[in-house]
Amino acid sequence: MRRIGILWLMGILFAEIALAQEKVTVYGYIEDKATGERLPGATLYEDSTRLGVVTNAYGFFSITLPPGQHSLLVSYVGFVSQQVNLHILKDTMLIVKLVSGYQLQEVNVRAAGARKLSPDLGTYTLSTSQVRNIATVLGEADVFKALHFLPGVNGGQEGMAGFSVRGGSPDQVQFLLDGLPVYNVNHAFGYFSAFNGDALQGVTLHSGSLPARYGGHLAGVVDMTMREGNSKQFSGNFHLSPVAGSVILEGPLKRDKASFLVSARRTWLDGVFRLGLLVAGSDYAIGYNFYDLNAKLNWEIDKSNKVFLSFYNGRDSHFGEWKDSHSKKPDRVHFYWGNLSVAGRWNHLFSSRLFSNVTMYYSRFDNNQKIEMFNAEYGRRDEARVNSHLEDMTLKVDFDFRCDTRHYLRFGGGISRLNFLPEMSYVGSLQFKSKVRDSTAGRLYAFSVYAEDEWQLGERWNLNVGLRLDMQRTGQKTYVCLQPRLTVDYRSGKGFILKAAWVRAQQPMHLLVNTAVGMNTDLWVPATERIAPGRSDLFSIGISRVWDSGWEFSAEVYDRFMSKVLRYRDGVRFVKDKGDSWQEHVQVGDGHAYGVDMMLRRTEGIVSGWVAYSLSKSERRFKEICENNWFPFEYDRRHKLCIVANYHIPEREGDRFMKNLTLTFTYASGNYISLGKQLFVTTPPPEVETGNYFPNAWEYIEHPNNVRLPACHHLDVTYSLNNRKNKGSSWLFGVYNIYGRRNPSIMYHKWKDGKITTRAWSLFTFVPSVTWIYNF
Amino acid sequence: MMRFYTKFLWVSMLGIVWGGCEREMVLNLGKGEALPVLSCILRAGDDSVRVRVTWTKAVYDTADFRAEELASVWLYGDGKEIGKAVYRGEGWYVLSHRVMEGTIYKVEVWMKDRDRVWGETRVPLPIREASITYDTIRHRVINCWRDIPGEKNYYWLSYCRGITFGDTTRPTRFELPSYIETNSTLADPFNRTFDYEEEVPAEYDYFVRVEDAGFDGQRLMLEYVGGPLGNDRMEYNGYYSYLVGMHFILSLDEHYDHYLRSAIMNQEYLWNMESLPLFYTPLWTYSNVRNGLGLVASYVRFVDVKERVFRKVKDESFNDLND
Repeated sequence: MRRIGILWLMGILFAEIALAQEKVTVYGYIEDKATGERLPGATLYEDSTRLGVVTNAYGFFSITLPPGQHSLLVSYVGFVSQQVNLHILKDTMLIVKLVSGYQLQEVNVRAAGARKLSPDLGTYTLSTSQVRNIATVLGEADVFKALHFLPGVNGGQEGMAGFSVRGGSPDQVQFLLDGLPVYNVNHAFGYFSAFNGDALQGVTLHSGSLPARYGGHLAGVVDMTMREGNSKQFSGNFHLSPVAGSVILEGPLKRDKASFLVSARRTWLDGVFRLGLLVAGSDYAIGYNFYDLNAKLNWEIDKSNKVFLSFYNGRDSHFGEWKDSHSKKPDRVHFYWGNLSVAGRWNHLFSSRLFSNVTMYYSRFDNNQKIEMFNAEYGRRDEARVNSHLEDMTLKVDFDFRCDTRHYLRFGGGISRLNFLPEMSYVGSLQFKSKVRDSTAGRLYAFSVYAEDEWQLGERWNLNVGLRLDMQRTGQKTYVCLQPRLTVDYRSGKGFILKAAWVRAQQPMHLLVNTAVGMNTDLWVPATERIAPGRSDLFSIGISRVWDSGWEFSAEVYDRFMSKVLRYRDGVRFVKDKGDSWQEHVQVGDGHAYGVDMMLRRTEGIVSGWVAYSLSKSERRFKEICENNWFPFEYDRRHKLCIVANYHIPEREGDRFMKNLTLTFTYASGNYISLGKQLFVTTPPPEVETGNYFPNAWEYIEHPNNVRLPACHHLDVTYSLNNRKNKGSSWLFGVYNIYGRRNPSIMYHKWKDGKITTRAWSLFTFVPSVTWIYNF
Repeated sequence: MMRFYTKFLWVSMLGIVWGGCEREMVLNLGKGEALPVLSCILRAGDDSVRVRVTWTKAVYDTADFRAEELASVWLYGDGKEIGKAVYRGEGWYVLSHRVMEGTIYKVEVWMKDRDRVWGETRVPLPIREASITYDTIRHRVINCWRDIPGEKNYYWLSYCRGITFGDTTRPTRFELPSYIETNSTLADPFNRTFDYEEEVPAEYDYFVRVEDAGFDGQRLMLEYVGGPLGNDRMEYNGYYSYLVGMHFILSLDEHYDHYLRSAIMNQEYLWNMESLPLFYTPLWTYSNVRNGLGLVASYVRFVDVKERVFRKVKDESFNDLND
């Protein structure tokens, strides 16, 4: 098998290179004309040969063509398409500069040529403007909420930014920001995403056929690209929404050679809380705040070399402080958690057909809880702390090699050292000191190599065949997993595509979440000698059709099997016993998800948008629960229908703003929660009768997630006024849930007067917002 | 433009006020099929075995739990039939039998048109070299015992107190403390909270749980604050008071241990539900009964009983009749 693989690679590298001598390669970058930023995911289509390519994460493309006259159609979402006519006789470097749609008066800025390249089934890209125009709770541009409108994606509780892709749990989705993994992706317990929408260039969701270059997570990849910064002139903006304010500064360090972008966002919820308590004359203070910082610096050393430095820091902080009149100092509680990531990247162009990127990054996730009490008698502070840390240091290399017109090879590998310190706790007072270190604290070493080939077998058949090898060394055990990735598609001449895929994936770490303790309990834990890495196999088959009028339709059926899925045992809190570890408190089981995702999309015209529908089922089973029978996963929603309609209001002469009206509608079957349907008599504790200790009855919950909430639906509206000048104010008016549907976010039982009533909290009924953006 | 902003503001305010937050919902949770509930706690040394058989009821049903009167309840010890329990009313079935340490008991319940409902427990071995002593100056209770080697043991320590006011009748109702204060590192923190105003800030709800992991066969000591050492006589203004204080070291079988942990945590969540419903997640309560619900479990105990009778001799003062 190994020999066959080597022969195949050698065949591609030598035979195809030899053949390629009769052809020429056009390579280069696609850029934003105004800012000089390179555009990942832009498309080039050559009409006579019917060949098309997509730029990689760094805006690089390479297309091999016969020598002669060619016409290339270059397009990118939100930009005006451009036709480039070339007469090429030898390898030629080409830099295409596209003009943003917002800088032109015309409305139809959709990529007329993008439709020539059929959409990848299960892969969806959203631009920043699409994200911004989708109404969210309290007006914060939220990339995850926007992704919820895509098929196959389910949020958790209503209004939250929970994220499940095709039946996977949120930790099975990899969140990459400029290739950097981010482990804490939400603010405010999941109500806002941890990424400032204004600093992003775009986002791509891979929910289906995951190429071999992605690894380490089972269910999908959310690949976010941060803007590079304006390399032409200094500019910036700030925005104010009801919950947060943000500022972006960008500009050239050396014109057309080096640029930077810095963005900062912070909520002022804590200020509102403090003000309220101050007015009420309270002797305690509680608050909550979050912030995120993004910075990116890039320097184009020469046409073949470019370096990037990226930085991300996001943090949530939840605190309380109170002081008795006789106490000198206050007592405090402080819970804070967040992510810090730094990455350096080096792009090198070896030749017109070989592009490389070397990435080195450090990413850290911390979760800390601290309680401090001032002991007036001894004049000192007593404290209790619980900390969890995850550090990830990685070096990886990726190559893109355009062999010839038929093969596009990507290969590379990486090595990582992950340092886990789960649940380190300390309790200290004058009389009492206790330090607990989890027995799984330690390192995990990971090594991966991959190769994938986009192989055009003929006029109609395409193949993406890849192989990924992941190895993880933990303690004395090494886990090795060979992960084949295969996608076959057949294209009819009339815009029809039939596609089938098989993806195997392995995940060396798990996220344990306990929703029952009222604080962030995210605990990233490694695969250990006892707990093996998670594995999944996804099989999918689908069709897509593209019409010249700008309509696209896709439908994909999938079936995913997952093994070594983890959950906390019922009744376990996040603080563990002395001398044992989280391993004693988890259950290991299987997952199964299947369904069909459909999408009808219009990318051109005065009204654009999409209708997405998913019919799906997601289940889990654990030996310890319900005799290993399947039960619903909490993210399971049987039906989900999303409509996004974006209307570009025609402009009149002298208008100050470009106006846009976006309507979004969501209907989803209710998600599952655990709730007792019956009661049973309590057994008393030893030596006493039940008395006042336990209630007379316990709720009987036959299995987790046994009750489905009522269906959830809401209609949201956004009206945006974008200033036509590069400077000045822009406005975003939004109403989330305009008809005030009381969608239950939480449901629970409450004992009252000896009987049980069911209560529900509807957190987001008619939430209006105004966001002011000022560009300078 | 200004008019638009003003209108938007007004509509927004009205919408938010109209929206509201918490509300009562009626869910069709269905009655569901009623399940038999079997409850039997065996205490080593007891002369009888009591088994209760009841039925589950729908969550909105305010009627009493239905007791099963027509069941046939059998007890087996180490695989041999011991006997059939006799019905005594309110779902209780009783069988005369001395509960022996180390024996595996199985309780089987047969009912018409239902599969056999059963549960099994192994009574823990006696607690070795146990002693409970008191440091009355420091107001400490000192518990010592030796772990049984090769066995998985779950120890639960606490005390209970019963008091009769007005006469010298021995109390029959006993209460557990709300919490126990200890700074021992042996204690399982699952039910621990901190109160830094106290001399010993670590407090444990009802019991202190000690698992023998890492201490197999070792001699263990745990001291906690307080308990009924006789200083709570001032609570009463009547003439007589009879106080019984029982300090105990219990060794629970794994089922009782799991149940008690889940029950104490469930209790804590019920408290939270009152104030923090947003963060409330109901918990599953442990059950080891097959084809039904409930608990068949056992324990052994080492107990030290202190009994005191007081008589009021003058205002606000009592004379300890035991002295």
